Amino acid sequence: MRATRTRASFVRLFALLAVLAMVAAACTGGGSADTTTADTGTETTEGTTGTTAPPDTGDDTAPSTTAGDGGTGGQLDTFTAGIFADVTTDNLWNNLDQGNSVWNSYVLTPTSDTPYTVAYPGIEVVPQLADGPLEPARQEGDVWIGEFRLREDAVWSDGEPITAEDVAFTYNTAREFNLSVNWADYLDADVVESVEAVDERTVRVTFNSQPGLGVWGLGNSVPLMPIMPEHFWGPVVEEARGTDDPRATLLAASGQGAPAAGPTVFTERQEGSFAAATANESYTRMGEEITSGDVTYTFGPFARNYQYPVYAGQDQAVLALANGEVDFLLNPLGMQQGFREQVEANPDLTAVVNPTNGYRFLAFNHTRAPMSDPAFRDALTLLINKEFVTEQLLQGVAFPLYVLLPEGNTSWYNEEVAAEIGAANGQGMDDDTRRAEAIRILTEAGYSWEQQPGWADGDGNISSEPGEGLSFTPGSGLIGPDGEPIPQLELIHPTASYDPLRATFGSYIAGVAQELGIPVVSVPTDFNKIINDHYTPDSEGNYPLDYDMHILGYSLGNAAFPTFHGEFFGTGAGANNMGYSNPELDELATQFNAVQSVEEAYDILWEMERIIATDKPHVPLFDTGILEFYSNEVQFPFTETLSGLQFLQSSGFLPALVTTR
Amino acid sequence: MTRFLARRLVQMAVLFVVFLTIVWLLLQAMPGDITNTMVGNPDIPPEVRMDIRERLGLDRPLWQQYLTYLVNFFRGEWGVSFSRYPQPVSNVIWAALPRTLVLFLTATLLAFWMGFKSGKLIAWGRGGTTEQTFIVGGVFLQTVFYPWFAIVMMWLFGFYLGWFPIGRFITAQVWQGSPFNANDMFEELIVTAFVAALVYTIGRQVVRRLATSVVWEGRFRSLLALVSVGGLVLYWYLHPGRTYAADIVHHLMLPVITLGLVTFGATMLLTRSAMLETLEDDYILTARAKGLPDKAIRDRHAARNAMLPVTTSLVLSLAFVIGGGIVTEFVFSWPGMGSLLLEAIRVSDIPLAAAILAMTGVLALFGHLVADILYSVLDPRIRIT
Amino acid sequence: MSVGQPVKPETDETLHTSPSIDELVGTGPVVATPLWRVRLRLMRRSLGQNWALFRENKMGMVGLVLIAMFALMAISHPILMATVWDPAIYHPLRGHHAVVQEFTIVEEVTDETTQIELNEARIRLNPFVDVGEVVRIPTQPAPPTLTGEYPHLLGTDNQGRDILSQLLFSTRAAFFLGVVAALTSVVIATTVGSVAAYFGGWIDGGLMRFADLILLMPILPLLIVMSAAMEINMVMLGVIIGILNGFGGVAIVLKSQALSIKVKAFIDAAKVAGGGDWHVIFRHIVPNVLPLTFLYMMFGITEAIAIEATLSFFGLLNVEMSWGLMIHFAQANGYLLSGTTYWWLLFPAGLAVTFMAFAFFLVGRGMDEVVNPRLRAR
Repeated sequence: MRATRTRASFVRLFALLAVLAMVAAACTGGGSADTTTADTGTETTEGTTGTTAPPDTGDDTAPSTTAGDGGTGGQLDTFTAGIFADVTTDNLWNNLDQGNSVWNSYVLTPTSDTPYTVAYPGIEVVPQLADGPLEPARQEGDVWIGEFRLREDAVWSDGEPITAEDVAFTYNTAREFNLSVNWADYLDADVVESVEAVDERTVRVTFNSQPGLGVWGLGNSVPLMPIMPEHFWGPVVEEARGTDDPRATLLAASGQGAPAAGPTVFTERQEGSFAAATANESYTRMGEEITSGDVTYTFGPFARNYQYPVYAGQDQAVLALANGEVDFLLNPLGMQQGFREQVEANPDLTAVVNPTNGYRFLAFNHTRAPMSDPAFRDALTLLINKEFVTEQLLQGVAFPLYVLLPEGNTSWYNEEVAAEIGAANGQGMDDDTRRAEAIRILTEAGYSWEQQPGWADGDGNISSEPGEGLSFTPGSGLIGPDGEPIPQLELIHPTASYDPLRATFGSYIAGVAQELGIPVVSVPTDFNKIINDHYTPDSEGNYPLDYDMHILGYSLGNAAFPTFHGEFFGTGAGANNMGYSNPELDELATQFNAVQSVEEAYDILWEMERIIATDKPHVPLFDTGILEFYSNEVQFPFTETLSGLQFLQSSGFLPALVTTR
Repeated sequence: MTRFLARRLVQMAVLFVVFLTIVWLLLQAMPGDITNTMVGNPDIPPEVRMDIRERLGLDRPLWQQYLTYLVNFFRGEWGVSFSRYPQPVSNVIWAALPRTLVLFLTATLLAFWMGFKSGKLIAWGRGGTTEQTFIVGGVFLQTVFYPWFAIVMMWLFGFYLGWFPIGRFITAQVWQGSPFNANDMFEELIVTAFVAALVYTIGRQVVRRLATSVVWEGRFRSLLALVSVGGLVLYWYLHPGRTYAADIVHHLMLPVITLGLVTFGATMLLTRSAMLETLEDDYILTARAKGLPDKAIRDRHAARNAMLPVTTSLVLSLAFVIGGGIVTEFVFSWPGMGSLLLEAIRVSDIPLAAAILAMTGVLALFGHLVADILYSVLDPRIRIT
Repeated sequence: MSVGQPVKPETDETLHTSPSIDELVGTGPVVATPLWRVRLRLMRRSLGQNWALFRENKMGMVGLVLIAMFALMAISHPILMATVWDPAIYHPLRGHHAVVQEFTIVEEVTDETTQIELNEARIRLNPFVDVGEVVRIPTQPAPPTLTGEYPHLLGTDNQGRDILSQLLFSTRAAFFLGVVAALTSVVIATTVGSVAAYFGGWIDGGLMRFADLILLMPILPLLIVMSAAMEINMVMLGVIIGILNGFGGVAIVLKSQALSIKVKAFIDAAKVAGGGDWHVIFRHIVPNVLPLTFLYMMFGITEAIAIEATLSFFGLLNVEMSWGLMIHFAQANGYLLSGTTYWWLLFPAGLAVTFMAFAFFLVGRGMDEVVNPRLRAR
């Protein structure tokens, strides 16, 4: 009796739930219907593929003749590119200062433009808003003068001309307000005396000494600095001057409605959901055709709208890509290998891989024995079979490195020298040769063992050379040249959950070292703790240097002018936390910064690479490719480019290049 | 009662300060700071890190930072978020809080309501296979590895069946260029749903007073439910932004169902245990002896007393809304307080993390207070003095 | 993760089902056997009675069987590693094994078994390989294989490591964590609860305010902050969860239980007989709250397992291998939502966490019915 009643109650309860679900479904029905409509809208425009009419906005200022033919692609309604964190600011000043994040850059950089820029995929500096190539600076008395002219047709998205005054305004405001982070790199405050407008279009930069390529030509400097519109920001800056904290006031100001110089105009952001932009109809380079690295392409924009939905994780983003909700996914680290199969199996999606502009390394503390001994560093480095780790253990996600400059940096990479350095550092050596070489190096440098590592035959005789029928027996208790046993050495590396690749390398290196009796233990450590303990200088700029070895990774900044050798390894350089010092390298780094020609710079750079490979402050271990997926609804004029398509987005080009298929 | 409240409030204030201190100490103990992210970029000179630290006041002595933090906290100045510089922390939090509250409140209230009903029924009809199934199901839901469960749910309903959008809060395609702000729309949803619930609750009390017979009471109640739910639906049907509201609701459903299922399991088991305990009580026997109908005994006598632990558990789970939401928000890309906390801790955004944790503390404190008061109101045996 | 939920104070019926030693000694005939033997016998008897009650609970028994299976899994790992499994292949962290296939890179694939398209080779190996090169590509993660020289019953992960080995290895860690957490919490909660109940006054007030403070702590967010502040390993995590649990809700419940015992006659008797405070607490009060303590131990283990797996899932713990970490790896490498294609990366670990928590929870419920007769089936 009671049971039946219970069952009846259940039925009622679930009937009620079913009704609720139906109500909910009815509510959302409208939503899905509308989504479909939006999709159909996209399809309708795709129907007109091939016609490359400029976006129709009803705006009279839109140039109607400039839209060029992108080659094969056509006009796109909305280019949707997923991002993985909120866009936190709409203020470009802020994005180049403390408010910087790669996500902000994806959305905001395409709204800005610079006089000169690095063109991809060729990685060379070309004029953008400027008219003609950059002329070398000339000496006038005590100072050097550099000048460039902006294009006559350069206009903001609101139709106002982009003037030399805007450039001077940008530079002087950044300097006056003491803007930092990325601005510090553009300002070059130690060599630039002033930036001023000579006439409406001519910018004059005055230097206190002869500028090298780093500050006048290729490096991040005034010619590569984004220009801010004075007619929009002028009043804001004026108002900020009167406040207690002018810098904070300027950075906190809203950039909503700021005219754009780049291919897109920022329109809105709904926090936690998406950011959006529209095409800049008066983009200066629209219709321009350029050739870079053997690829010829035309600038758009070829889409009407740009949309950047935010995803919390790659899983959701890839599912959305497969569902056709987004066209492309922007991620500075690329997408995970696990999605590869799924994407390759999907005829609507394409996967591409590109090299990145960075490297992961093993760093030695040069102020501590035995790491201060070149023989020790050489021996330990030789033991690391990078091919084995990357090809066997980390298959498909990493590849071995022997020089710091990435192979993907096509305009600076020197295959010959790289091969030479590789050969000198055990590239392609088998494990037994590695061991024998390491034993030889250590023995010659005066090291000995309590238990000598070597190759034993059946009778227990140990030979220091491998041979037929001999098997390797590990050694133990390495004794230094001074007769003291080598104490336990710690190899610090990020934890497996933070980065399995570096963790795998860490435990592998400790393993091969121990086999040879070198007492190395791997210590997986929280990433932030590594940074805090070993990468944070005290107030005088000195590093604590209380580690033996560690594994970390660096990115390399501006690929058109790689200054990182001096920044990382110069004696007392800001990022030199290895206690490494080599006057020869310091001299080369100084020369590199003052260099006037690219050829000269190239030779100096590779001379520095040789020194690094010999001295081993960093031993480059491996790098990962950047894997990216996009929908076949869209296409790009090229997909082989350093750091991938996402980098084209954060440097502002991608929105001008994407077309329909 | 007043004395109790006064004493409790003083205790709470002291507890809260201690809590804030612990939170602050823990956050300070995190290695490194926001400038960690600038390491390894040769375009950003190391001096810049010092400059930023100075700008954010991270170079001041710790005790000074602590005092500023405490004083400013109570003055309502929660500082500027480091990672979303220069947005004030309060803005960031006020944007995220409603999203967390709605997700969690909807899931929790639905789950408690259903859990209570089912728990009541299975406790009443003991011993059948239904009971066994429900218990096993309930225990499974309560102990299932939640992140995994959420992922499986998302894969199944979001991708494989395609019934719901895959994570996130709104569909960008629908909202781009919309005249509405998602947060405002969201707040309107909350308010209208609250009004509807209020109408139903008040109406129910009125009906109970006025109804002459159980039958009429039931009919009135059904009518009331129809009016409040229907009113809500009608309001939104006529609303100019109904597509947008529907979009939000559509996105809300899968996380609500997932979170709700887990809460449902726990509530059902709790209700069942509570019911079983009360069913043994003498007054139930008395009621049976009086010959009251089963349904009346169940709903009027047993269930009412079983409600006590369930209600307490409900209030307390609401107190832990932020912590409870972390996994759900992470898996479903829901931009609420939990995701915010994870992100803030990942990038060492100390002001933001501190404020979120403090909010958690405030909610927990009030949750406990409300639970105590409820206990005294619902349980005649406890009198607060 | 239901810390902070007040549990209704248990009634003194507990005492009927697990008869207190003192009561029995007090009422039984005078015997000449040593006291410890009496205690042992009584304990056995009470255990026997409780066991009989527990055995009636089918679901509790299911839980026990499951726990036994997990225990077998935990034990089997070192044995397998020492006997059948070659550590170079099967080590859960450093083992590696994959079927390697040789491919020639071509523009257009005509023979799928020996050729690979350029773009795919670049994606799978590195961006610098070119047409014409011969590349060796291992299959990892690999689906389960039952035969061959090195069978992987549950397949391998994306680093070519055996999933079954990882699963068994992690079982031990999970048990270990659960036991550490449960023991810590039980020791703390029993001590705090008994001491607070026995002494009362400011000691009680102080301890209970502290318990309030702990109850205020949102466990998961707090642990997330802690894991950022320090490197948390399994032992530390166990102790932290134990402390948070033990000082919080469980202590409060055990205190009310202890209070109900404190007023019993035999406590007064013990005091009159000259028992010191600590003697009374540890000899007379603590043994009587123990059954309830065991109950909370079971729920404590359930909770500890869930918390560890969640933190590992977020990649916040510094542990070598655990079920949560296995799911984290699957997620971090993008295998999670590929549907059922890579089920072996997702399901074994997820189900292991679920079933282990499930098992301990069932046992906990079973024990609850033993100590709380109203819950028993009629």
